[in-house]
Parts: sequence; structure tokens; C-alpha cells
Amino acid sequence: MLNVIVASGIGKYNLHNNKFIIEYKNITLEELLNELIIDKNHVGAILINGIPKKFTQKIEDNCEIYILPIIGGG
Amino acid sequence: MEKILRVNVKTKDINYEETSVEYLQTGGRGLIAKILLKEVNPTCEPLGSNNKLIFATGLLTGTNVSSASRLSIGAKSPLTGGIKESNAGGIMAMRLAQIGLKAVIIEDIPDDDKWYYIKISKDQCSFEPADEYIGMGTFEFCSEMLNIYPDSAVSCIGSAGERLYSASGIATMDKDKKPNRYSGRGALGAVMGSKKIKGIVVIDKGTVNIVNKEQYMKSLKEYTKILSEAPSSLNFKKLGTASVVRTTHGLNGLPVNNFSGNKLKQEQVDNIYGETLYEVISERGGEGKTFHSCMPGCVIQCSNVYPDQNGKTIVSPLEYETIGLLGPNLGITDLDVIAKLNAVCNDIGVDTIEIGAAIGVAMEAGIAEFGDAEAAFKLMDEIKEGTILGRVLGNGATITGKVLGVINVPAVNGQAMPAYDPRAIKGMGVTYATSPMGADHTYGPIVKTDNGFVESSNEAQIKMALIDSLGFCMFIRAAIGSNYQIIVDLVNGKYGWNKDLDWVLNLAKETIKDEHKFNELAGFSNINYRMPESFTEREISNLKTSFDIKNEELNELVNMYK
Repeated sequence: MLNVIVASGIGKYNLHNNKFIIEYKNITLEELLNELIIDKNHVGAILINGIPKKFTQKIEDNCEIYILPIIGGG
Repeated sequence: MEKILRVNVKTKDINYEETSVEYLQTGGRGLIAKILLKEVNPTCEPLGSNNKLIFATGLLTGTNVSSASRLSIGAKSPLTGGIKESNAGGIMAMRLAQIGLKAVIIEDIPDDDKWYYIKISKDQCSFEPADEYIGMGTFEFCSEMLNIYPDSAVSCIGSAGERLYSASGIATMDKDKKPNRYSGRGALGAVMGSKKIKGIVVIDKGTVNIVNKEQYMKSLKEYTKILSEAPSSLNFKKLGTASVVRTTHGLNGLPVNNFSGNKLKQEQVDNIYGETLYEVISERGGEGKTFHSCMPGCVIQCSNVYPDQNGKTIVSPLEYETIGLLGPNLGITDLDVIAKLNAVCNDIGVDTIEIGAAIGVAMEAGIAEFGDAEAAFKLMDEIKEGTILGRVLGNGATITGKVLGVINVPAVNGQAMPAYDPRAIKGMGVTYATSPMGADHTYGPIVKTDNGFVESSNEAQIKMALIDSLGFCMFIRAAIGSNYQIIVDLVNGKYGWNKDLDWVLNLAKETIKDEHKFNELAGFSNINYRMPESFTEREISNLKTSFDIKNEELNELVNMYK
């Protein structure tokens, strides 16, 4: 099982539907974004168990995935 | 009562003034706009006696409100010929506010060749001889000041400011007492150099008065919770601004080879992703830090410390704009190289955006090959040594383009573009074109929006004027969303005022109006607020698009502030 949190405002997700559990699949983070119907250009970063990972990273079972918004540059 | 400290570098007069009601009700960028409009002839020579260099604090600066103690520095810009405010984190603004200063205004130019630094304590200010420090980099100068005043806060220029380079900025100490925070844009370092002031040194600490403590504490608690729990703050803390590399690359907006419109290959961009930066810093350990705050009490902590393979600091922070301009814009995708180029810029005291763009233009002219890191370091040496080519580059992308015969210069009104190609990221392009400060992403940042570019830019411009005038960091913007009320509540608590939401929005709009007014009086008209032809005529081949926002739409936005 995967615990998924999507920052409110990304795609169709808001404060009422942005935390959910989904079945584990042997896919990458980018493929997960496709399944969640999230445009990767709307995503700033993805954390797996609190660690930032590249979108080519394969997902492992029983982890927390946190999808974060775009931020401005400095 | 907060005071304004006015120093005259010619007469050596020092005066503390009560702050007028007009000046008291704004701060930071808003205050700078008011002072410049009232006191500086907009047609003056920026490096001459009639320009003034202003260090201003925000309305909430010096309090324990997170991310609210940015230092605003402003003057008429030698780079753009218009108004300029450039703000940075660090500890200087906090110190100034805590010893009761709303602003420091440096006036005139000296009639001799002697250099000074300005020493400021709780109740005194003096000119101290600085000839012995001339030629020093910012790090050595700050180290010298700490030897004399161990607990001081310093803002200073490097050799670039002394030489009046148009790419020169003013460095400010971070909380670790290193001059890592930059008011880099608009050649403010050159204005300081023209006044022969090497640095400002504040040697005392203090506290600011909170009038309505109950309201302030209640609002502070709510604000801190919002900021700490925001997903955007988590992204800033994990990856810092380097997180943006993925987005701009994805949108084809990351500048490559002097804004050619090309896109990096995946294996190239992988090397400079925020996640890669995080991995490298984590693996190398030592002095490296994946997150770091530039000012005390910041809960966002977007900064970082980038170490070498032995764990020794190369630079802090390594940020998105620098990665973009000194990286792929020069055909370089090695974080170590980018970090080292950044460190040289910081010590000389030049803006990494302006210098990255200037070297990119020089590479297009054939002075060096794109991707040649060794050549980039040699060009940095020329800037440092002040050779003729170094002086050309040190005066920025536009001058470099003119001297070397390059038409494709990524600049608006003389100031180089940050790391967002306006053909791909059009909202940011609208901000570049319509900002009274040249191409400046911080004037109204829009990274991703699918439509309504002009409207989105305007909204961002208003928000940023508000944030900059209160002394906030722009990175609170995503966290607070449209909840400006929390900011008004904090201000009301600090000052015992009873302001409403309209007040803070009007303050923001008035700031933008003041800035446009200054430029209008300096000779700017609507035709100055344009994107250069190399971005309106040249398409990004992948996207088959150029910057195609109509001039009428740009006029409409600018005219709103006339």
C-alpha cells in the first residue's frame, strides 16, 4: 500500500481529497503522476518517506509519497 | 520612534531624523520608492552626486516574524537608468531595525579619493578609514571587520563595486557571519562604490517595540503555523530553489547556451536537478547542509551549503538562478563548476545573473566555447583583475553584447534576464517587460500558468510589492496564498494600528505607481516596456513559439500604474 499526499492545488486535489491510500504498483514516480492525472510540470518535487527523489525513481511498497508544488526561484 | 540616518560622504555630515508620517507607513521597497521620488532627480547621473543609496527596513523587520527581515537597498540604477530596489536576507536589516533605524540614506559623492566604511552603533555613526581594505573581496573584508567588531553585521562591496561595474551588487552577512546574501541586481554595488563606501558595519543589537502584544502574539502563532505547515515551505526546505530546474526544463524555459531555446538532454539536466543537489550535499556531508536559514528564526530555510568532495564549503547558497545562468546558459551542467563560479562572483561582488548572461553573450560571440568551464573561470579572472575584457563583462550582458556585436542579448532595459526563457514562461516574460526595474523575476514571479499571462503578472506584481515593502521574503507567497489578512494583523499588532486589507493592497499599488512615476520622469515611456526582438522574433524551435504577448497588452498593464 502507498500513502499518498498531494499538495492542495495540484491537479484536481484540494484539502478534502489530497490524502489517500492506493494499491502498490511496480512503477516510477512519473508513471504514478500519470495515473493520478497530474501534469509533471505542475509538480515541484516528490518525497518518498521524506527524501526528495527523481521522477524516474521506482516506487517501493509501504512508503509515503508526498507530491509538492512548484516554488519560485531565488 | 524609528529614525532615518542620513550620511553625506562629501561633507561627512551625519544626521538622525524623525521619520515622517508618510515614510513611517511603508517600508523596504515602498519606502525606497517614496524617498527616491521625493529626493532624487530621476534624470540624474546614477554614479554622480545627485543619486542616493538607501538601505531600508520593512514594516515587520526586526521582529520575530519568520522571513520578515529582508534588507532593501535602492537607488537610481546605473544598469537600467531607472529606479531600482534589490533585497536580500541576512542579518543587517534586523540589526538596523533593532537599533531604531528605519533607513540609512547615503548622499553625494566625495571630492577626494579616500575610502571609508560607515560604523553604526545604537546612538552613534562615524566614517572610518577604509583605504587599506580596497581591492579586498567581500569575504576578506567581512573577516577584517569581525576581527575589529566581533559581533557586527556587515554589508559591503567587493572589487566590482569599487570599479563601478554595472554587474556589481552589495553583499550582506548571513546569520553565520558570511557575506552570502546579495542585493545583486541593478548595479547598486557601483552606486556604493561611487560614494567610496566599502561597507556598512552595525556593531550593536537591540529589540523592536511591539505595541499590541496580545494581537501580535496571536497573529504570530497563526502565521508561523501556516508557514511551517505549507507544502511549498517543505519543498523549499528539502530542495531549495533548485527544485525549479525540473519545472523550467520541462517547460523548455531553462536557458541553454545564451537563451538559444535549445533543451538539455535528460542525462545533462539530471546533473543539476534539485534532487541531485540534495544527494550530493547529503553524500558529501562535512560542512554541507541541505537546508539552512539566512536569517535567524526563518522556518522556511530554503538556503543550503554546498561542499566540495572533502566536505569543505564551496558556496552558500547554491540557488536556481545561479544554476541556470552560470550553468546551462553557459553549456555547463556540473554542479561543482557552477558552485565554484558562484563563489568567485560572491567574492568579487557581482550579480550571478548578470555575469552568467554576460559570459553567455561572450560565448555566443566566440570568445569561448559553450561548455568550456576552464574558459568560464578565465573570464571570471579577467573580471576580477579588471582587464579590458573583464571590464566589458563586468558591465553586464547588454554592454557585452554591444562591444562584441551580439544581437541576442537576454536583457530588458539593460538588465539581464533571470533563468526563465520568456518565450516558454510567458507570464514571467510579461513581468520582465513591464517591470520598472528591467528584467527582474522577483518583481512578479509567474512560473507556471496556462493563460492570463498579463493578469497573472499583475497579480504577482501587487503581491510582491506588498511583500517587499513589509520586509518579507518572497517565499512566503505560496504559503500564505491570498490570506493577506494575517499580514495586516501582524502589522496592526506591531504598531497598534487598525489597518484593513485595502490599506495593504493600496500600499502595494502605490509602490508600483511611485516606481513607474520615477521612471517616467527619468524619460521612460511605454516603448521602454518591451521584450527585445530576439525574443519576439526568434522562436523556441521545440515549442514553435516566441514571446507573442501584444504590445497593447503590455501597455495596458503599465498604464494601470500611471
